[in-house]
Amino acid sequence: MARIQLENVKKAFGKVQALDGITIDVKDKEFFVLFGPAGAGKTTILNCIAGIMMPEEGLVKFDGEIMNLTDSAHRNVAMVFENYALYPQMTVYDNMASALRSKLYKTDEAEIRERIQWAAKIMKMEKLLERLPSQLSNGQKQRVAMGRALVRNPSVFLMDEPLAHLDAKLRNSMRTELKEMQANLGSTCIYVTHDFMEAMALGDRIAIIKEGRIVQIGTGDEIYYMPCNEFTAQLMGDPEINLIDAEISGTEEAYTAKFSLNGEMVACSLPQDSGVYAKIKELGLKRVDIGIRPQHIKYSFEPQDGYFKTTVYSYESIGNKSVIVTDCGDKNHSQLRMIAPNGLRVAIDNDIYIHLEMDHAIFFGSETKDYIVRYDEANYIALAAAQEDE
Amino acid sequence: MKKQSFFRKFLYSQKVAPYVFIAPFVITFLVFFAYSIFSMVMMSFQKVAGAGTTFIGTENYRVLSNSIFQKSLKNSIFYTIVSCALMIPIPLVLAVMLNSKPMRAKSTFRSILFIPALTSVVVAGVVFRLMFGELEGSFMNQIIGMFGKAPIVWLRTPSTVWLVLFFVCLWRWTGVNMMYYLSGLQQIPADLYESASIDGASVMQQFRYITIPLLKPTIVYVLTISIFGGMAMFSESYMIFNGNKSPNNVGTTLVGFLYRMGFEQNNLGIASAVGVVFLLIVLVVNAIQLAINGTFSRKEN
Amino acid sequence: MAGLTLNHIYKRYDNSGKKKKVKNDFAVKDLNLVCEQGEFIALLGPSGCGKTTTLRMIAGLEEITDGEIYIGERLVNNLHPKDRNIGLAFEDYAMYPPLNVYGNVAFNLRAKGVDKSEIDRRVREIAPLMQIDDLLEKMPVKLSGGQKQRVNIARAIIREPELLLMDEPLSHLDGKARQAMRTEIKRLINKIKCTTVYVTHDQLEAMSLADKIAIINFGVLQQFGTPTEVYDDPVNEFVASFIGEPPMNILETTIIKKEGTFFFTFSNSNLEIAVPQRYYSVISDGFRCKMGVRPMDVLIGGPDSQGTPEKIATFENLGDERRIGIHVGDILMMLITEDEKRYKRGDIIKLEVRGEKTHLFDITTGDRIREKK
Repeated sequence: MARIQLENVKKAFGKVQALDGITIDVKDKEFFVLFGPAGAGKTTILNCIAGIMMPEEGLVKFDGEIMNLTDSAHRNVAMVFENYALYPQMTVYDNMASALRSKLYKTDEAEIRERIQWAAKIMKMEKLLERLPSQLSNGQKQRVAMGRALVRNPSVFLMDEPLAHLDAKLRNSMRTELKEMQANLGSTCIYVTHDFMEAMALGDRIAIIKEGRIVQIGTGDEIYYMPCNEFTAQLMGDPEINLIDAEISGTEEAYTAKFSLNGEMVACSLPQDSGVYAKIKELGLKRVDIGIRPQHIKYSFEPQDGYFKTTVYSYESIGNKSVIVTDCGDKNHSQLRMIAPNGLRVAIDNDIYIHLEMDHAIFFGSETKDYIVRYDEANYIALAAAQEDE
Repeated sequence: MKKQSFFRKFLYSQKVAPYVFIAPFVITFLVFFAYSIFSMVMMSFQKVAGAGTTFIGTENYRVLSNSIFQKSLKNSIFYTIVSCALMIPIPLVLAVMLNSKPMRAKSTFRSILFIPALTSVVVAGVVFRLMFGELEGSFMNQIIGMFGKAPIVWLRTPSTVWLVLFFVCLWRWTGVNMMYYLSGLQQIPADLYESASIDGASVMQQFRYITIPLLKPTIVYVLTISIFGGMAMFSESYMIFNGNKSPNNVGTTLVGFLYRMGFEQNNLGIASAVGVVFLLIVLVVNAIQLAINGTFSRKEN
Repeated sequence: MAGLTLNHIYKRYDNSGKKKKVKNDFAVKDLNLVCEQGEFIALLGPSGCGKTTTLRMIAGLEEITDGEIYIGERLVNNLHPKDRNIGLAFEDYAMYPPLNVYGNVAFNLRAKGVDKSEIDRRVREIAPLMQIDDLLEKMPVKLSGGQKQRVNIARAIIREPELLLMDEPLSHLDGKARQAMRTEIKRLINKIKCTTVYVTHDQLEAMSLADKIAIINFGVLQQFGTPTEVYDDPVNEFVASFIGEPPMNILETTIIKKEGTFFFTFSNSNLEIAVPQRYYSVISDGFRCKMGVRPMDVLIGGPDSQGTPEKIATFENLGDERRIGIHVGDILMMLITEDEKRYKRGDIIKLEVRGEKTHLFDITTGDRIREKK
């Protein structure tokens, strides 16, 4: 296993700057996730680590040794592709043995058999060894692809959206299995995905990538609770975080946030919090974007104290719960999302009364969209620090 | 030993390997295509006799005023126009019929229509020559005899000569064009037709709004090769007339004339000139045709 | 008057051998459904279950082997699709390539011979409803997937059909585009109140959009009920495991009696879970069945809980919630909690299940075992 470092790596394809100064330090035995929207450059980073592509600038280091000029075969990396890349005319057994039989590794057949049996047991595919890829389902092909990587015993596993083409059920179960497997093996793993659930569940640390640049690196909790900007906050969480354009008024004893809802300005008092209040005073904040996650908005179909009136736009199930979307009635048609149980009778375009739990709010700059402060910040910083030490 | 491993390393190295892979194609292209065209153009400006070649400028091109050349050019153009007029729509209709749901025994009909393309031109030519023979006992004369008509001198009467040539062309190439259309038709998603049937579109409307637009690339392709094929037609005419000798050159095509100049009269210079003219005509016509059909326009998609 | 009625519908496979072989010869077997006027029903099931075949029979694109289909009061078995007064939105959009959006939407009105000014009025009325008013001049190749789908739906509803059919319209969209279109469809149907039949293999879509869901497997209707009914009250194991994301935990269990209390026990595991009181009348010591409980309904028990202590195999922190996996024999049982506590692999917890949300299924047939009232 190895420690992988990228230092200021840059790569362009013609006029497009795919990677613009990427610096990453993946610790030995870490499960490191590259997360970002499509086209951000995640696969390019993986390819540079694997040696499939060479960066124009910057260094790729394995355990401190510069690997830029070493070709892929000699880097001892194993890659699992989105499309499995299995040799169609070979059985599963031969696919897995293919690397070991190559001139580079020259392993004898007895050892090959032993290793394949070991990998097959871990991937729960002992019964598939004699089949051809055309006889396998997508989920089984994915196991073979991973098994083939396992057998190699590489310095690092590189996985490029391996679960992308599986249906939701299979994705969930394979994700859980992957996590268990990696913990058991203790291998360094660099994993690319655009699915935030995979990122949060699997990653010891996550790097958020946007347009070839790193936006934030941290543990799942760190990024979820203290996202460095609105872009990151919106990536993590389904349904997406609500962002409300608000004005801050009041005195340093009691601040209030005012925002527009259905044509009226409503005021929400901001609960006391040393961190938040200090920041508001220090920066003289007048206008902010307040981020509230859907689970922190309460609703009622009857008017209640402290609840604001708005209209239902839609009600949709997302699996184990549902989302109510309300229309704020402003010219941007901005919407608020909140969580509700499955199976309610909700009529579209009806009135609904909502209450924002401000004590979970995150504050972002109105212009910069960057993170400013959040409620209970000290606690989350401590949590993140504790996780980093693990 | 050292030399061999160096050579192997060289061939297998990442840098050289790509060129090794494309070498066969490049070599073939250069030898059989680029070099041939180049030498044809060169020869068209030369007098080629026995061992030596003399540069004579554009004298060979005076063949353009030769009356036989002009007749053969007219013949080729006439043949191309009529064969395109027949060979574009008729195979299309057959393909649509063979592709439709209620049709039975599809593979049988497909094979029957395609087999002619597999026959040898020489044999087909001989057979057709005999079928259209001028004597009373020939196949075609027997058939028209059943209707009470007198035997026709098929291959010497100007009007019937063309009938025979087009008949041979249709027989031989309908299957091929039909196969192109069939593969194009099978790419059209079935739900377009289903949607149209729910919308209440008639068969003609479906043809006009779905089939033709989606088949356009195939039609353009078939048209392009038909134009070339029509202009280049030679073997059928050669076989039918048992050599390049049709009475009064009624069946001589452009390539037939080229053959006469180049191989029968051994005048490679003039033949090359004719070849260059032929190349230019086909290039220009197809360029115009493709441009009209929008092949060269840059789509925003 | 019902919007759509299916009576004892059977469909045999084509003998041309084009369809996949499955365990019976029928693609659809004895299907009965009544869809009220204005109702939105979903035909839901795994691929190959017969839902699309059923839709196509309703549309008239496939022949019915046996049974009757009524649209409104009319028996439509032998009617040509264009005479059934339906609109069909295809999975692949089916846009006529030489026509622009206006032409595509107006196509069926033109084919019917409706006069020009009326066509224009109707197209301009529908366009803002589907948010395609600025796309009317564009050609199909220039549209995105979501836009094509809106044009597709506009075309289906412009003739004000009695019945709207949709065949997996969102399957080629992904992520945000898909979610947004789903909401749009919901709002649209709410506005026009047309009887709608929607085919999908995505149970989330069915749960979000439909008034009632018809779950089909191997051509046989499993359950026809509201989203709440199929979620909380599944009739068999198939429905229970198909609906819900992540899926219900379904485990083979032997019930034992210890000191007057019944417990679920599982092979190759020490886990014991107390059986909810309401099932006492239908079980006995040594009774074998399957236990089903959704991950959200498995709870972490307090220190004085009756459950046995179990080791955590996997712990996933997903921000909004946390998912814990526990090995029970060969199966990984999932529980979902919004509890803030962060666990680690190997931590010990006790499990409880919500009594009213736990289901029993027959071990052979998979049918639901209900308590005696």
